Amino acid sequence: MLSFWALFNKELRLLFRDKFGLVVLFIMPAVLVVVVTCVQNVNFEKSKGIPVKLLIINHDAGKIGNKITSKLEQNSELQVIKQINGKNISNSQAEKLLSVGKYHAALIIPKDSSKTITNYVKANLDGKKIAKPNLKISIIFDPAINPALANSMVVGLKLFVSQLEVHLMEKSIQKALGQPTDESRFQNSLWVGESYVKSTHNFKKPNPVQQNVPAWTLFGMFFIVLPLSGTLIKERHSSVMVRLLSTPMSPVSFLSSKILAYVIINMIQLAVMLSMGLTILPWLGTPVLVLSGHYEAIFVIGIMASLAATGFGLFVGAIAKSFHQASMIGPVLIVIAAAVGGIMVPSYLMPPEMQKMIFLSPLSWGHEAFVNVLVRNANITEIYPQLLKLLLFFCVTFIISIICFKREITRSK
Amino acid sequence: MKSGNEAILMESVYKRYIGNDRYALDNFSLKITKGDFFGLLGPNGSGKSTTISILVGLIKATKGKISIFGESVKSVKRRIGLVPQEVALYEDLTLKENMILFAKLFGLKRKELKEQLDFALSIAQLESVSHRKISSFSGGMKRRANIVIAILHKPDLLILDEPTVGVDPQSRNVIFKCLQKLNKQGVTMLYTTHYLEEAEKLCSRLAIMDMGKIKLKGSIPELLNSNNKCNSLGELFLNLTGTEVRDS
Repeated sequence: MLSFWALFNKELRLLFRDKFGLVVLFIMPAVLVVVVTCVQNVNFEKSKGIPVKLLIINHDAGKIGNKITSKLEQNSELQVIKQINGKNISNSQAEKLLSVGKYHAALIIPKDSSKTITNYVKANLDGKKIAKPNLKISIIFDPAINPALANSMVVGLKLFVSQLEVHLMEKSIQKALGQPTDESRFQNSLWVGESYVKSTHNFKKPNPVQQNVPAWTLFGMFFIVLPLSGTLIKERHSSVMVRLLSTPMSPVSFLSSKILAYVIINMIQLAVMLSMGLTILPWLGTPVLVLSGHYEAIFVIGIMASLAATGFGLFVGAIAKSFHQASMIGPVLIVIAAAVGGIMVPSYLMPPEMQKMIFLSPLSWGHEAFVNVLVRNANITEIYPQLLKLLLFFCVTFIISIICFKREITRSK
Repeated sequence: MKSGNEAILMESVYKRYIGNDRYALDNFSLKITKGDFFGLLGPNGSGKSTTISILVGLIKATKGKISIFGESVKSVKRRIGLVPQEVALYEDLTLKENMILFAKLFGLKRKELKEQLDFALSIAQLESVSHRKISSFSGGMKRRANIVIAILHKPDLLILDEPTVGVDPQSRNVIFKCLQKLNKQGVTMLYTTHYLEEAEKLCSRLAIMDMGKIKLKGSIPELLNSNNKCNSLGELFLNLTGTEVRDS
């Protein structure tokens, strides 16, 4: 044990004297967390606060055109524009305005829409067989609009028109039966409301801080691959290794001392990044990071992610022939793992083929565990699959590292 | 294995590296008595470094019997000090930090550690610079520091692989005095060098090796008497190993 602590002490001293290494370990992820969170927060706030600018081109002289327009005007997330400079908007004018990005979408209600729909409904009720009218209420979008937003608008409009159709039928039946028509039934007929699944208690609505702080912290933690593999390769190629191996020290205690030193560094990184989410980011205008007392779970995720990161660092240090190779292999693999693992882009935005690869990324396991705890309010027992995966990844990389390291030092002597 | 009077005993040792047809050690035998100051001479690629690597347990022999103080290499590591050919120290640590690290790797604790630090620093005349990083040392200081680390744990056998390469005469003098003092205290020395005058000055017995085999061994007068044509160790060396330049 004496040799283990001596090697551990040496590792910490070397680490804290490597100024470039410290910049890579602390400053770079800190900058990433701040920049990415602030940028995404601006988009998040924009999508919350700024309404979609919708042009309405209503060619219908009847009630339906007006009903659709007034219904859309009630929606606070839409800014409905019916006229420009006091004049009605033409179809071609709307298309021009959309193509330059001035407005987000345009709704075109064709001439005689009310008449056509009413006649169709009435004919159906009377049992007459008539062809489906060639009527098309259409929405044109700005090509740069968020596809998810465009889709939700189309779905909303289809739903509204179907609802209107049913209401017209209902009204015709009531009229035929001599009953008074009830307009309020139409107003209140939407039974769908928005809410998020609450796994246990104190559910937090997802925001860029809850997502980005753990994501980019993990990214930074895995970047210990650079200093860790660097020191290992430097020692392996220098006479220091000859001297170390001439002592009674075992290669396992040599590599283990590095693991402990770098796990401590990783945990300091985690504490620094989380503190930034609690203090600096709110000061920059983002929501505050909410930990909700999940300190135990966060600590355990941190330890497991650190072990996975150090295992990966040792693995790269053991297989790379030179620091140049390690500095290429390590960061490139981390960036790929981050991209595949949903750190850079949320996994649901990835193509289906890419989504199938998420399970390969250790960063995604750590991120999933953090999101489960910080957003879904899961407890430690609910994240054990992710924790086990991280631990297994560490064990595999550590064993491979020992084998490669032993083989490499024997070969180089 | 029983410990007799031998510090090192190598009998019929063979070593062949993977992917190499030639034996680096070819039926190599060597016996060094306790307390000897033994010089191992040979041109580049003769097998000196391979011999040292086997003795300190860095590599295993392909075949043959090796014992140090009557024990296997693995079990006797604490009794061996190694001065590698290159400076084997952490440049970003101070000399004292390097010393503490390696002393602890050899199991030295508190009082003994402090006593040995003081002893090793004084013998190499490095007391005043122990707080400085190795990266700030001159070449000679680094070479002395390289020896200091190897003697910290009071080894019974000190193996030195060309310890004075690129060292100024003053530092070399300090190194010689240090080694002679240790040898007088009973430490067995195995010394390899290309400087034949160093071997003549320090070593009580020598062996000249080439192509993985011992060509000749004995005391310096014995070696010179064995060949009437050679008047100096240098002549004898070239006579035994040839004048062709060795690049490996």
